[in-house]
Amino acid sequence: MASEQAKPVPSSAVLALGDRSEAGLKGQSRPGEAVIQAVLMACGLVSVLTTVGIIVVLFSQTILFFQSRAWLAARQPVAQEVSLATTANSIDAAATELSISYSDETRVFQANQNIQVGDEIMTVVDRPRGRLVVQRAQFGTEAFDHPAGTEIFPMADLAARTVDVMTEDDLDVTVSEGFGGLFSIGQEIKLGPEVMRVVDIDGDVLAVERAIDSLPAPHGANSTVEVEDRPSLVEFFTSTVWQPISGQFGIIPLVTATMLTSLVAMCVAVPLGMSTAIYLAEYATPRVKGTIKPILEILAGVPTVVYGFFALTFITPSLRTLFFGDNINFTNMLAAGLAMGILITPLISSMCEDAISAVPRALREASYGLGATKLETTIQVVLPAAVSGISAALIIGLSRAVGETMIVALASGAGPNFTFNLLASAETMTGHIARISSGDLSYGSIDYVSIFAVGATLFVITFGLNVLSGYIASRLRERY
Amino acid sequence: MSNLVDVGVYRSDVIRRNTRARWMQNIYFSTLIIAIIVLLLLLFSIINQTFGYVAISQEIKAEQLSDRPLAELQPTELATILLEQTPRLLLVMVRDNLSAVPVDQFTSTPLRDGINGTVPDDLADLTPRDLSGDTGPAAYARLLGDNLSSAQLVALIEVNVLKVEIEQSWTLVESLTQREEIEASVAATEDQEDLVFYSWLNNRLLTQRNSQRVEEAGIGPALAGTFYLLIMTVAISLPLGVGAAIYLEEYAQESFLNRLLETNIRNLAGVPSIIYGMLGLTVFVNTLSFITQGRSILSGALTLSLLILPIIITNSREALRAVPSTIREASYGLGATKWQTVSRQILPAALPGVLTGLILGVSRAIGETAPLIVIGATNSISTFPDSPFSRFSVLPFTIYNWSSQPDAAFKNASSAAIIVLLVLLLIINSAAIFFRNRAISKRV
Repeated sequence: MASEQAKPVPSSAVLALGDRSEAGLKGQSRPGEAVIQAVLMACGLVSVLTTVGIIVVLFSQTILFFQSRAWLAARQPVAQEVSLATTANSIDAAATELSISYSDETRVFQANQNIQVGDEIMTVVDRPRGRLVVQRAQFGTEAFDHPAGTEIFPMADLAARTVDVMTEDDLDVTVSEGFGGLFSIGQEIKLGPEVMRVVDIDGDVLAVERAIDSLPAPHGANSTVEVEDRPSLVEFFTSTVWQPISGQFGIIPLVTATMLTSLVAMCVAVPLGMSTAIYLAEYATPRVKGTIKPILEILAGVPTVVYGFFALTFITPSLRTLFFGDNINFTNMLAAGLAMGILITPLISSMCEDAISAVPRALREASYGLGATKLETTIQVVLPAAVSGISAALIIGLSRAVGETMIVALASGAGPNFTFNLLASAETMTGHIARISSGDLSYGSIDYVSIFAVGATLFVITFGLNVLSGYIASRLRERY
Repeated sequence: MSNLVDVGVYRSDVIRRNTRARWMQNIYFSTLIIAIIVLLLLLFSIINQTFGYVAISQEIKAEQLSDRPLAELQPTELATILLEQTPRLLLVMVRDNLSAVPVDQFTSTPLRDGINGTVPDDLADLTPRDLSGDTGPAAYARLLGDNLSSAQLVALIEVNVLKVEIEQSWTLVESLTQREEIEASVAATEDQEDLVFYSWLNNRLLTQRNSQRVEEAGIGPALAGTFYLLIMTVAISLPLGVGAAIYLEEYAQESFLNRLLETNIRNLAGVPSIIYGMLGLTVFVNTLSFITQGRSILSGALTLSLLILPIIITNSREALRAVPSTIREASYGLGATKWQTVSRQILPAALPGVLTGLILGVSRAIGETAPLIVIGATNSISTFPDSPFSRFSVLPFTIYNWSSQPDAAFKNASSAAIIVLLVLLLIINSAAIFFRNRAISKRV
């Protein structure tokens, strides 16, 4: 055969073949085929467009969020008329604790409340019996020594209001007494629908330029003066309060709730999933495998909203009767995390099983040959060899837990809450997006764009985890 | 001698190590048991909520209306009962159950056009406004008697005449174990309540519309919405997914673009579903609202299609790859073009695998709730979806909505809806297994 092929082909034959191919096969152009190929490629490109779409949508709306202007009443704490308590002993300027005697028996101070003692404003940090732990010298006041018996006035946040009626032509806004200090020259303020710019401040009288990008209008006395509140990146990542109504957008409470529920889920899913995977890959007979794998597949296929229902109507009541009694909230992070753990167990176990099964038999047999038991072989030889696949599986499981929505939306609680107490209810990032968007959102409102800022954060976290998982799987893999 | 001692140490060590190995094996095995227990608990908790005693209060007993059970009466007799008991409500009942036109036009449209069903000739030209006098109720009673089934009329009587209300519900376990206490507590109530063993999974649940009152609430439109949505999702995602898979398997060369496509599909599979919802909200609901009419089934189907595309592409690629290359080469050898080879040889051979992938995608889509919440599925609609542009509700959304209601009875209704959803999933997955087995037996 080889020698026949090696024979030189007569040139006439080449010529004949060449002619035929030109006439019959090669010469035809097939526009139809090219069109079909282009259409198929376009189908493939849809997925790229999806990714591009997700990134563009999330980040463009997030930028809109950080550019959005919200107007909030300019507020400052004002001492109220009636004092609630007096200091029981004299305090010096450095002390952070006051002993107090109440004018009546009720405990009236709250954490974070501002109080006025003499000329000094303090913030209550804690209130153990008979004492107040405070932060001294707040709101630009100075710390003084106070004698025993000084009255303590509670303070309330009051909004700045106008004192006089304004016509379309007035250029002075007089605000409530003592509120002038809230404003600065060049700042924009809003009265009703009209935006103005402060050009000069004299005590509580603001000289303004009227009708900035709006129409001049008359304003009644006692209208609220609003100032602009633009969400800032720093506030977004450092504030522990998420309260769109009062213009506070700090994502930390949403992130901590997400992390806590995911952590609980991982605490359930990692031992369960890995142990199931080890059993299925190393010990199980084909028959056991044939029974268990469908069960895991069913667990993986149950819609997540059903797990949410399960957490809400079974796990929480069970935790309540078995362990925690009334300490556990009706919606709580623990139950949501447990249900999520059940959800991701099949995912982790099937990925880990693939990783363990991929370890070559030779490694196991060498280990047995050295006298190791099955357990020692599994723990000391097989698992280290499969570590890349296993860690990739765990990270994918975590990413899935972070992005899971329905369980936490149902069982973890509605309302952001900065807490590390698993028995308390707190809203996760996904839960927040789901709750806010299930109301009728008006397109472009600050609530609408704020969920995109949360979504972008969520996307960055899960995308980072997925990329990390892929990186670990490909880079740490031992090649056999 | 020293050798012997060593052997002794070695032996005791082996026993210890083997014991430990056996212990750990048991622990590994116990996790499987835990998985089974969890699945059983899940099913138990759902069934536990679906059946059980309910305490029902009613203002009038059925016996006071008729000496025979209501279910045995003819529609006309039931309509007469409605006419006697609630003459003022008949107009609303006709409008809610039979109207063929929007609510605001109903009173001014002749009954011939305004009613969905048969209308007696003497009423055909009249509008509800003409019938506002004393003759109205009798006419409406005739319309109801002619056009509604006995079951629907009984339901109307229960709600409007008997004023049936579910006061309290018990789980199956409670109903079985604490029967006496439940009976005692019901007997102790002031307004005479009846204790009935109730299945929340019933005909009314499956067919009726959603309602604020749990006695009337059903999943009819939600079920229809789920089917509508799934059919459209399949229609959109199947060609796109299979097309992309064919391109990647049969046409694509090793190039930057194709590596990008592959990485991209892998990463898309890991994006949380709620993010797809936000994409759909911005692109389909808001930007393309002139095509999709906003929060419509079409927007939902487009969003879900993007969500399940990675699943369909990955599975279709595997199916295409499993087609032996001899088939391709034989086809090329006979002079077929690439597309002829793909469409007439490879696709038919890979079809079972492609369908399996499709079904896996669909069973993912059917339980998906989060993106549809963002897109704007709503529970407040009372009509069945009639076009791709109508607003919609889906089954999992109803489950979510009912589960988060404060009224405990809604949790029972919710668990009944969950059973419907799980049965749907079971049917779809059985189909997947059927196709998979057929594909395997064919190959052998």
